[in-house]
Order: sequence, then C-alpha cells, then structure tokens
Amino acid sequence: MTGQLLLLLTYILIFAAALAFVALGGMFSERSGIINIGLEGIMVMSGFIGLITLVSLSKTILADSTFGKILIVVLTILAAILTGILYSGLLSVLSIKFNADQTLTGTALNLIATAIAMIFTKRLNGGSSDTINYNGSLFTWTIKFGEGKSLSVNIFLLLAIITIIVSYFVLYKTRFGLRLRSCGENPNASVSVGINVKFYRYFGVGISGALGGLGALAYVIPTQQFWNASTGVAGFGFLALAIMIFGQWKPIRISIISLVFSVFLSISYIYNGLFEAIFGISLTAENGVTPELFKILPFIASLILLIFTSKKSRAPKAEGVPFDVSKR
Amino acid sequence: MGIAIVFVVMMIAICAISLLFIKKYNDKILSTLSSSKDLKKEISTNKSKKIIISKDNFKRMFISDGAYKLYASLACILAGLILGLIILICMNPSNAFYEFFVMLSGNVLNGGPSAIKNLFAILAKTAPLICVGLSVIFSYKSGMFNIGVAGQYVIGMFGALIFALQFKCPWYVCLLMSFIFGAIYGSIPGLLKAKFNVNEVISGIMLNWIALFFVNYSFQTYLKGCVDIRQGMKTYRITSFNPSAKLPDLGLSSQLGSYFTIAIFIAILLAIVCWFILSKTTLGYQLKASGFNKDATKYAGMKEKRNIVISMAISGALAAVGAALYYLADLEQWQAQLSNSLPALPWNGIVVAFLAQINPIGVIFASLFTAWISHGAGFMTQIIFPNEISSLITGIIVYFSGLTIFAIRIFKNIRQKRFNKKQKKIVKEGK
Repeated sequence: MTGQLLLLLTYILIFAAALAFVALGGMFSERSGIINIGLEGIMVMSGFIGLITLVSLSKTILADSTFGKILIVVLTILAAILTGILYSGLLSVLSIKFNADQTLTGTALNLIATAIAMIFTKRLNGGSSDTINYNGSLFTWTIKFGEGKSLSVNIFLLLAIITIIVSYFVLYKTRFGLRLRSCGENPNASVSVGINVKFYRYFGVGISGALGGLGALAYVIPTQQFWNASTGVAGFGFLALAIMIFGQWKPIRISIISLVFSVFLSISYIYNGLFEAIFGISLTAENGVTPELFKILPFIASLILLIFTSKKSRAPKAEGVPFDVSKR
Repeated sequence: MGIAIVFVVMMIAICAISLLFIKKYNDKILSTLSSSKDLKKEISTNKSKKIIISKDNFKRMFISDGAYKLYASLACILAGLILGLIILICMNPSNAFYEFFVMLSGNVLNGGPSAIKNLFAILAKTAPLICVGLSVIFSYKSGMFNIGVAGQYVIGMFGALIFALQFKCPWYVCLLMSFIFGAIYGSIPGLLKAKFNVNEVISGIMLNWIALFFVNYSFQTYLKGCVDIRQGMKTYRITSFNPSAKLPDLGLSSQLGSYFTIAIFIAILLAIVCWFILSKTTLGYQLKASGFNKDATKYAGMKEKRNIVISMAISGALAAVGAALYYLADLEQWQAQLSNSLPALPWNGIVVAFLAQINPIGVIFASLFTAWISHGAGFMTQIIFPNEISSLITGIIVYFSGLTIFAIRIFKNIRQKRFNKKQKKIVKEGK
C-alpha cells in the first residue's frame, strides 16, 4: 500500500510540475493581453524537438561521462525552451503586428504543430510508426524507502518550484511585471505613460512559449518511455488554460490548483493498483470503471468551477483585444 | 504536366463560378459603395452611356468586397501550397514535384479507371466538412468562436451510432437524433455564456474532452453491444449490422463506387439553408447584429442572450449532423479504446470556415478543396511523404487566413485612393 501511495505521489509531482509550467506560461501571455490557445501546439512542437535532441545526443559520446550527461539534460531543456519561444513567435507576430484574431491563430498553431510532429516522426521512423522511443532516466532520481517502495523525483519539479517563486516575484515586485500587467489591463493608459505595449506583449508571449516548452518536457519525459506524435500531449495545454482561469491569473493560486488537478490525473493513470492495494477491490471495465472515468473528472470539475467563478472573474481587461494605437 | 494544366483550369473555373456568385449577393454592398451621385445622374440623364456602365459593372465585379475576400482566400491557399511544396522538396527533391501533383490530382484528374470512385470518395469526405464548417460560421457570425465543434461532432457521432447500432433505427431517425444531441450539447456553452458569463472558448475546450471521454466510456461499458471487443472496441460496420441505418445511395453505388451516398446533397442543402437563415431572415439579422455589437443589439431591444443560445444550439446541431453524415455513410468506425485524442475532421471545420471567409456558400468550395488534398495526400509514397502533409497545408492556410482582415484593409485603402482620384477627375471635368 505504501508503495502504491508513493507511486501516486510520484505521478502527482510530475503532473503538478508540468501543469504549473504551462499554466504560468498562459498567465504571462494573458497578463500582457494575448490569449494563447496555441499552448497545446507549442507543447507538442517543443516536446518533439526536445525529444529529438535527447535521442540524438544520447547516441553520441556525451552519454559516457557524468559531465556529458549533465550537458545532455541542459541542452535538451534549452532546445525545448528555444523551440517554444520561436514557435510562439508565430502567434505573437500575427496577433501583435497584424492584429489578427488570437483564437484563430492559436488554433492554427495547434493544427500545424501536430502535423509537423507527425510528418517528421514518421519520416524518422521510415514512414511506418509515429512514436519516438527515448530514455528519460537522466532526468529523474529515485529515492528508495525499501522493497518496492520508491519515490522518483525529476529535475522539472525543482525547476517548477523555482519558476513559481520567480514568476510571483517578477509579476508583483518588479517594474517589468507592473508594466506587463498594465498592458493587459489598459494598454491605452500604458502607452500614455510611455510604455511600449507591443514590446511587452511580445515578451509575454515569449515567456509563455518558453514555459510551454518546459511543461512539455516535464510531462513527456518522466511519464513514459515512448512518445506518440498523434496523441501529442493529450489536451494538457487546454487543461492548463483552465487551471490558469481558476487561478485567476495569479501565480500562487495557479500552482495550488495545478496540484489539485494533478491528483485527479494521477488517479486516472494508476487507479487500478491503488484501489486494489487500499480497498482490496479491482476495478475493470466489467465493473463499469475505465480510465476515461477518471480522465473526465478534472474537465467536469473545471467546468463547474468555471460556472461559479466566472461572474466575478478577474481576467485581464484587455485580453484578446488587438492593440491599435490609432484607436486611442 | 497534363495534370497540372487540368488543375489550373479547374481552379480558374471554380474561381469564376464563385466570383459570379459573390457578385450576385454583394450587389447591395456594391451599389452603396460605388453609387456616387454623379454616376446616378449619368444613368438617369444619359441613356446612351449604358454600355459603359455595364462595362464598369464588369470591372466592379473584380474589385467588390466579395472579390477581395476571394483573392485573400486564394492567396492563403497559394501560400499553403507553396510552403507545402517547399517542405516536400526539403524531404526529397527529386520526387517532390511529381508527388505534389499526385496530391493535387487526388487520383481523379489523371483519368485512371478509378477516377469516378475517387471523386465520390472525396465528395463523401466533403459532406461532413461542409457541416462542421457551417457550424463554425454560424457561431462566428453571432460573435462566438465555437471551438467546441470537435466535442459536438463526437456527440453527434454518438447519437447517430447508438440509434443505428443499439436501437436499430433507420437512417433518418439516426440523423434526427444526432441533430438533437448536437443541439443540446452545443447549447451548453451558449447557456454558460449567457447565464454565467463563462468564456465560450474555454468551456468549449472542456466540453470537447468531456464528450470524448464520455463517449469512449459509454461504448466500453453500458453500450458494449455496439462495439466489437475483438477489434479493439471498434464499433460494428453499419452496412453489415444494420443496413437500414446506412445513408441511401439511390441504387447508384454499383456505378459510382461504394462511397456514394446522399450525404453530399444533404450537406449542400444545409449550406443553402444556412445562407438563407443568415442573410434573409430576422433571426439571421439579429444574430449578425449581436456579432457586430452586443450592447447595441441589447439597446435595440433584441434578446441577445437568447440569440447566443440559439446560435450555439444550431451550430452544435450542424457539427453533429456532419458526424452523422460521416459515420452513417460507413466510411469509418469509431474506436472506443484507442481514441485518446479528438478526431481531426472537426478541427478542419475551422479551416474551411475561415478559408471560405465566413461565407456559407463558400464553405462548399473550401471543403471540396480541403477534402481533395487530404484525399490526394494518401496517394503519395507514404515512406517518403507522409499524408499529414495535407493537414500541414490546411494548418498553414488557417494561419494565413488570420492575415486576411489586414490584407483586405490594405486592398480597400488602395481602392479608396483610386476612387478618390476618379472623383476628383469627374469634378474637374464637370467644371
């Protein structure tokens, strides 16, 4: 039973870190006034590039030495972050420079990301399968408590905690954060005091891309040994957007709610062993229980919570509205 | 080479037809835009100048609002195709052009023995695309972005399949039930928006995943009779399980291939009905008005909350009917266990809606194009060129269609400047 609970905790920590990254990314983007529906696509894209980097570097001489292993980890993470920033640039250019519809552009990013990941994964595998196999053991440490009882912690958890603290600090305690928030609330007022709204919006979307990339790796690498391009990140980016809304665009609330959501998600992965260990009953499709039953829970919970919170929602006032100086 | 020429000719023909169509219905806008007082005077005083005016009309056909929208769409398609071609060239330069034309021909234009079969296979995929495209348009016209179209599509599939496989009803009952299922499911984000001010994009996304997991759960547990457990929980083929639920083919399937059903006619009919509702009825006017300015419509005494719910319900119903047209034609079976991600087809509804510049009639052509290249991509050498190239191209098209508002504004500015110059000339000559 302890073993199962530790496994549950492992999963919770993995998902919480990943969700917190992506939700914080969405927060930075929306605080600057740009709705980033394309987070799912950004995750697919940077997860794909990150994995390719990891797989190709693992085959080189770097994998033999300790220093090389650290280098692999760092390079993989950097590749994912860089991809996220560049890919989110597609969104920011269109929605900031050309005042395009942000929801539409985000949807386009999602479509393009899945297509590109599928095409190149198939191409790498010689046209047949669309999965990438990788070894994520470099990113995780296992703490053993005894026979069959182990807790694995990954590097992303550490990074996530740092990110949460830093983003709180940046958003509320620095000049940059204040200006970023003002661009999302009232860009006209910001311009009148000499703030470059477009610059801050580019920056906000860029941060969301970087965090989306980190979140993709945090979700993909510790959970499995293979990645399926057609599944992508299974709606994780969208879930993160919902978390961001419950978190009312506030970093600390967002991190707490990601933890709550990750409990639901983790249960959907290992409910069978967990229930058998605790209650001594096995849950299968014959008893009317499938993984879907648990996967659906966070979404239903989100929807119900949305109903109660949306009336007094504290969304950034200018989000989704293209900024046009001439309309001032 | 022959294929290329045929394709170009076909594209030109489609353009000409749609141009004529747009011209017809944009007459009102046209007349308000271009009827300067001078021109009207000329018409009334000088009958001999009639010929010149009709020439002007012909000219104006190419500079009308609708024409600009068409140019913008074609530019998006062109950009998508060129980028797709570039990616193909990057993958394998020697075969890229040939394979690209294989994709564009869709195995129809090369005149092989299976050309007719392929054409109707494309049309069978066009029908659901038209419906989901209309769904997106209907909500967009009333100021809502229906991103929940995928969930409504899945629910529509669910409604059609349980009545086809579980209750063994004939096809029209299945179609009707999927319509009702979709309308109810689609009205949820509308209700949430109207009553609780929940952003319809976020609630739509949530409802997408709820629909997917709910349907998969249902097929695995209490609707086990509908799925084949030996084939990974795939739903049974309608043709063998309940032939009465298959869409009728009017006895033509022996000649036109097994893909032929009346689905495409239903879809085109729906497109025309949508166009009629949106541009000729009070309801359509109210919906469009609330899309333009929500507060103004409220001030004018329209029930803007009721309109939101109605437009979302119709939108959901259209998406659901699209799914019914796809699954009742027995083109594919739903895999209850393996479907971990939402189907790709409803997302293409967003593609065709914006490719058609939010025009219900344009959706027919946009869907035909999208279905055409996605069908054609399957004929490329899959080891070198995976068929997802087509979804990449459509994705790029959506991306660029975000630019169209910007592009059309530039077009219009140029036109306005020219028009101003002409006006000045007329005034000068009059003096």
